Formats: sequence, structure tokens, C-alpha cells
Amino acid sequence: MSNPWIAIGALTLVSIIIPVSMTVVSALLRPSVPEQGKTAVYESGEVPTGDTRIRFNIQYYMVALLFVVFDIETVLIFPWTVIYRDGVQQFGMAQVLVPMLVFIGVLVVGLAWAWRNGAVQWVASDRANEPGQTAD
Amino acid sequence: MGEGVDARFNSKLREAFGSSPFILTKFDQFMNWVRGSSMFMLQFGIACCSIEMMHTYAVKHDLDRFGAGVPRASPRQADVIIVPGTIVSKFAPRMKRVYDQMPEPKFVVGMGSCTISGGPFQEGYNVIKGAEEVIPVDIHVPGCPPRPEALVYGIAKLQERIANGETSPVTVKPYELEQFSELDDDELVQHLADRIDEEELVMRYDWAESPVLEALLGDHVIGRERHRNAEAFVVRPDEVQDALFLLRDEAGFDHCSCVTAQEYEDRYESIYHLRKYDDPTQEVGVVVPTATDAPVSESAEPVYRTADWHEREAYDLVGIDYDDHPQLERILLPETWQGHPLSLDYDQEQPQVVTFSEHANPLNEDQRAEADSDTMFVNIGPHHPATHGVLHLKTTLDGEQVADVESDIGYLHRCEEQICQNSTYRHQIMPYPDRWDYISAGILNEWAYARAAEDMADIDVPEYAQVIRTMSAELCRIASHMLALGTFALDVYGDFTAIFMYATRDREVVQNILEDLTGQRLMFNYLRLGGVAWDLPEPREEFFESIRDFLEDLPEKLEEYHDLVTSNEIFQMRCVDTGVLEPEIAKSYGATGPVARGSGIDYDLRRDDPYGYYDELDWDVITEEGCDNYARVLVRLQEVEESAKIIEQCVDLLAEWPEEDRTIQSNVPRTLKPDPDTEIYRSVEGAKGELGIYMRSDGTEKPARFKIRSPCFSNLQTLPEMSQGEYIPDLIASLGSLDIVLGEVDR
Repeated sequence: MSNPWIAIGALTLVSIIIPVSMTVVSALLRPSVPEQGKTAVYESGEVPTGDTRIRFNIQYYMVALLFVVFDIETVLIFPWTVIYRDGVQQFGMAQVLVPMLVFIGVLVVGLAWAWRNGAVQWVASDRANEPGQTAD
Repeated sequence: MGEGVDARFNSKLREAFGSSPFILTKFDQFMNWVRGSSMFMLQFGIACCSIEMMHTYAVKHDLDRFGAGVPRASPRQADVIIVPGTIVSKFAPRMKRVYDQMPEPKFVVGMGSCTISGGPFQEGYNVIKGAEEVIPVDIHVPGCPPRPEALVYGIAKLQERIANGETSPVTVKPYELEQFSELDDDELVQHLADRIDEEELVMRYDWAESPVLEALLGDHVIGRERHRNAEAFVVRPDEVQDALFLLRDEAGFDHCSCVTAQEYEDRYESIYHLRKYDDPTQEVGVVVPTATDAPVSESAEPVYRTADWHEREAYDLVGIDYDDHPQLERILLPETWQGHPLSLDYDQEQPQVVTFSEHANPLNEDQRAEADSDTMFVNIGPHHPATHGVLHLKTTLDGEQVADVESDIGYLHRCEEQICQNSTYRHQIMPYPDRWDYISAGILNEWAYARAAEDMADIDVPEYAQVIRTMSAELCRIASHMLALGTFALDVYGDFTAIFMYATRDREVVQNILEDLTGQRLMFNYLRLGGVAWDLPEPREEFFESIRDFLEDLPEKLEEYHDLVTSNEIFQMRCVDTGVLEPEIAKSYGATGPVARGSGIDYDLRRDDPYGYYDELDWDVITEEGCDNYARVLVRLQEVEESAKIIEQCVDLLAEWPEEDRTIQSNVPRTLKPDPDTEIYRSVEGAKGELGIYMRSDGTEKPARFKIRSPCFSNLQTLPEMSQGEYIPDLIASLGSLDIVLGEVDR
């Protein structure tokens, strides 16, 4: 009776129904005036130059990577905090707390290393600093 | 369809049901109630009205009480657009695009006379005669500008209409958008330029007498002129740079205030108004005549960097070609514009076509060729909260750094010069200065015109009126600096809650005082040639008391600003040593006002070229040596204190002024007709810097040429110097610290 997959299945169902129903209801209710300008990219009222498929600077990669690491960290810590109390009662403090501390510790070392290496510092490019590039 | 329900609310649901079943009618009522009660405004500012619009959102008026108060920066999240101000040809297609990108159903509030008919700028060659030429408008709020109460009323009315399911039966007039190729007449211009014969240039000047400078300039001088403000030398069009180099390096004229271009019946003329940063009363003009059939003269850009934009403007509006100019393109008008509107043969009725296409990335080609990393071209503006109006920055980014930035202006070019040329000196010009720098700085601007016209026509101003002028002008300066501070905090902190609201609160106090005095909150029209419009409001004691109360509270409030802003560590990290503008560079760009004083240039016309009552009062010129964004903010905050000192002394003087001496205006003829060919360039210290007017009379009651030297125009030119190679957030902070107002940049 108390199959934990029921709750997960219900959650999946709800997470599908809510966005779909919102899309359907708003599609039914909203007036539809398709215009060329509406589907265009908004860029402060101007026509965008070029598309988004450009080579991004490699330095964004480190920032993105750090972000992903901490995002996953949050995802893992959250359920851990929920079962923490029960876990301590069942398995004892050391078994529950220490692995998480080790996990966070590894991440902190990684962050300190990245920080020291200047991953969160933007390395100025020579090209942008070149004098005489002013168009006017 | 339900009765009284407009077709624009049509949805799939309603189409499916066809007629109007009862349940749908009820549901419509519910939907309309929802739409009216929760309106998301687009954060969209164009011109003067946007200042009152901001006050409507802010403390005291608080539009949020009506469920309509949270402005959204993106049109994707907004369903109401308030159109606050004049729409000009270059901006119209952009506004249409922003409107198109809002989701349905969307509503438009036209704010101010300009959105009804073009308002006071209806006659302008570049002005769209009302917002309905471009987008449909649901409700018009008349006024110039409407008070915040009027806007609140307009929005309440709109909500009422939406709740009833009715909208105004307005049809959209599509705005013509076409692509045009390169202008055909470029070749023609080139051909004419080749044919120039300098011997044929007509000179009318007697150059027998020789002053000190003439010896220096030697053979470069071919004539002399006497302007009301200064001597002027006539110089051959191919020797401009030599003459200006001599004047700058040998004679010390390091400040090119302004370049005026004009067309006479027999020739074109560019006038370089030069003065010294150390002593602005030392002025000299350099007049460069060119032939009518091929107006080409040498560019002054290598001598004074500021001449770059000034000459582009001269080319754009008058049609003089400058040899050796780095980028001689139109600056205020769209590139496809035909003709030069301030030249004599321009046809006002000529229809014009404006293009709407993407901008080229200036670095793209050479980047592709040599390096393997791409730069990204981003448009910042014309509809962007950080540009303080309709400014467009063509920004090329290299990662987080600004590789190239170029300001594209002209989105608010309202033909102010043309309109002033079509108005009489005596009364018709005075309302327009209020609309140049519309951040409540009206009286400072009016004073610029008043000073020029009074000096031109030898009009005296009674001392009593001078004191009133001084006091009200300084009140305007406080209001203007408060907005500069509030919006700068908005740029740096992204904080729409505390500092911006505090600044608006203090502006409200100043605006109330000014309204008591002048009868208007923003567009005062209070100065008259020879004095002011009327005396202080009765009972005088009460009026003085309100000012004294304000001054008494001010130190405490400034303390609060310092706590919130300048002593904040994050603010200091963002502002100290960013946007550095070296004094020498600032001078070559003709920077003035708080921008120059933040770079340690001790230049303030109130002290250096005294007018009004300033030289009788005890106050200091503030300078800061930092040259960075932080220094410019500090200068403004301290200038508020100095202004307060001036106002306090003025109030004391006015309170004790003997009743029989309270003359507010001198005797001025009903129609003013200065002598023909009188020329004058006069400037005052506006809120943003040196605000100058050049006027030439032709013996009629209207000026033959009216040229505005806008401080923001010159200050904005320094932006690439401050932001090239810096990070994007520093670009935004630098732009904010320049405190530009587009009404004055574009005029």
C-alpha cells in the first residue's frame, strides 16, 4: 500500500499537468495576433545583429562549471537535510554527518583552488584594450 | 460576441462559441476585471513626460495603489505602454517594434500633447505628429507635461474602460518601413567639392585693424568680425587646422565650446567658439566661410576632439562638408534623410523615409580575419532602462569587456533650433528651453536664453529679479542633481526602492516650491527677457518658510545619502577607479559641469563668467581629483550643499528687500528687433555644464540662426574614452555618471 513510487508518480503527474494546463488555458483565453515583430528577438527595440551562434569566450566555461557544481550540491544537500533527523536516530551522527561534510569539504577545496587560480576573475583580453579601435 | 466587447479581446474560446452564451459573458467580465486590476506597465521613457511618469510611480503619487505600478523593463512582460513624450522619425520604428513585442491584449496610454499632435514640436521637420501615426492609442492624457495626478486619472479611466470591455476604435496606421540603398547624391557632393574656387568667396569684413591674436595667426586670417561676446577671425577653409592649432597651443584657447554652422544667401559659415578653461571670459571666434555651391572646409577634429560630433551635426543639419573628418555621417537624423533641414532651400513638407534594419558590427570583419574568437554586437537602447532615455549604444563585446562602443543619438531630435528660429525673441522662444534639459532644470535653461538675448539687445535686469533668478535656478540644480543621484543608484545597485524613492521624495519638495513660485512643476516658463514673470507668491513669509524648512532638512538628508550611497563598500567597488576620464582628455572633448569638475577641472561659469547674483554671494566651486565615476557622484552631492548655501543667502536677501524696490522686470519693447547681423554666443552653468546659445539676428523679430550648445552633447562624447576595454557594468556606471538627458543631447 505504501509503495513510495506512488508519491513519485503523483509528483510526475502534477509536474506535467500544471505547465500543460497553463499553456492550454492561456492559449484558449488570450487573443492571438500573430505579427512579424512579435516573434522577432527583443533587443532594446532594435533589430539584432547576427545570431546567437557565436563562439563564446572560454572564460565563461569556468563560471558555468562552478555554477553547475554548486547547483548539484544544493540538489544533494536538500533531501539530506529533510531526512537528517531520522537518519541520526537510525544510524548515528557519524554515519549521517561525516559523508556530507567530506562532500562539502571536497567542493570547498575545489572552489578555493579555482579562486586561487583566478577562475572567478576575468582575464582582460589584449584585443579589447587595444587603442585606436574606437570607431568614431 | 458579447455586447460592447471589442474584437481585440477575441480568443480561441470565444471563436469556438461564436455568439455570446451567458457563461462566456460572465467569464468575460471576470477576465476584464483581471486585466484592468493588474496592469503591468512597460518601463518606457522618451522625453519630458517620462520625468512626471517616474514621479507617478514613485512616492507621493504611487501608481501601485491602483494595481498598475510596477514597471517592467521588457515588453514581453508588460501589457500597458505609456508613451511619454515626443516621437521623432528615427524613434518611431523602434517604438513600433517594442509595441509589437508586447503580448496581447495590450493597451496604450498617450501621455502629453506630443503624443496627441506633436504638441509644441508639431512644426518640427523630424517630429511625428502624434503617437497614433505609429501605434493605436487607447487613452490620451493631455498636458505638457500632464501632472502625475492627470496620469493617474488617465490610467484609472483606462482600467474602467477595460473593465467594461470597451476600447477605443482606433485603427493602426502602419508606419512605412522600407530599405533604401546608399544615397545617390554622394557623388554629386563630391563633384561640387572638386569645383570649389576659393577666390570667389565673398567677404564682407573690414580687416584693416589688427588685434593681438591677429599677429599670431598671421596669414591665416583673411578677415575679422565683431561678435557681441568676442572678436572673431575669418579663416580660409583650407587653413582651419593651422589656425586652430596656433590658437590652442600658443594662445591657450583650450576649450572649443561649440561649432555653429549656418547658411547665408551667398555662403556657408562654420563658427568655432573658443575659450579658455582657466578664464572663460577670454573668448574668440573663428569664422570659416565656404562657397554655396561646394561647402567644404577643413575639419577641426585633430585639434579639438569635440569638433567630431559638432561637425557631424553641422553636416547633418546645415550641409557643410568637412575634409579630413574621421566619420562624416549624419548624427541626429536617420541616414536616409534627404536634404539638410537648416539649410535655406530645405522643403519642410518633403516626406522622408526611415529605415529599420540591423546595425553592422564595426569590429566583425577584421576580427574574423585575424583572430579565432568572435566579438558580439549588442544594441543597448534606444529602449533600455540604463540609457536614461532614448540613447542607443552600439556596443561590441569581447567576453565581459567592451571592445568598442559608439553612441547613436538623434532618437529625440525635436528640431529645437528650427523651432526657436521660427519664434519671436520676446515671448515665443522662452517656453522651449524648459524642454531641453527637462529634469526640472528649466530655469537654468531659460537663463541661458535670457542671458544671450538680454546681452544681444542690451536689456538690463533689475537686481531683485536677479536674486529671484539665482534662487530658483539653484533650486532647479538641486532637483536635477537629485535625479542624477537616484538614477545613478538605479544603474549601479539596480535599486528601485530606497535611494531612487528618497531622491524622488526630495525632488517633490523642490518641485512644490518651484510650483508655488512659477505655477508649474516641470516646464516653468518663469523667466522673461528683462526679469521674471511675476513676484514671489503671497504670503511671502509662508513661501520663505517652506524654503527654509527644506534647507533645514537638507543636511540630514544628504547625510543619509552618503550613508546609503557614497560610504557603501559595494558602491565604492563599482565606482572608484572605474570610468576614468583624465583632465586633458576631458578638455579636448569640451566636457563641462560636474563631469569636468569630477576630473579636477576647476571650471564653473557661475564664478568664472559671472552673471545673475552669483558673484555677490558666498559659495564655493566643488572639484574632485578622482576623475572616476565616484568623483562625479561626490561632486554632485557637494554641489547640492553649495546650491543650498546660495538659496539660503538669496532667501535672506529677498526677505529683507525693501518693498518699493521690488521691480521684477525692466522695460522691454513689445517687439524686439536687434540690429541686423548682431551675433552673440553666451553661456550659463546649467545643471550638466556649460549651456550656451549662439544667436544671429537679421533685423526681424525672430533670430536668423539659433544654435544651442548642449553640455550633455559634449559630455556624452567622452563615453568611449571611459569605457573602451572596461567591463560592461562599468560602461553602464560611466554612462550614468555622465548624467545625460537626451532632450538636451539631441535638441
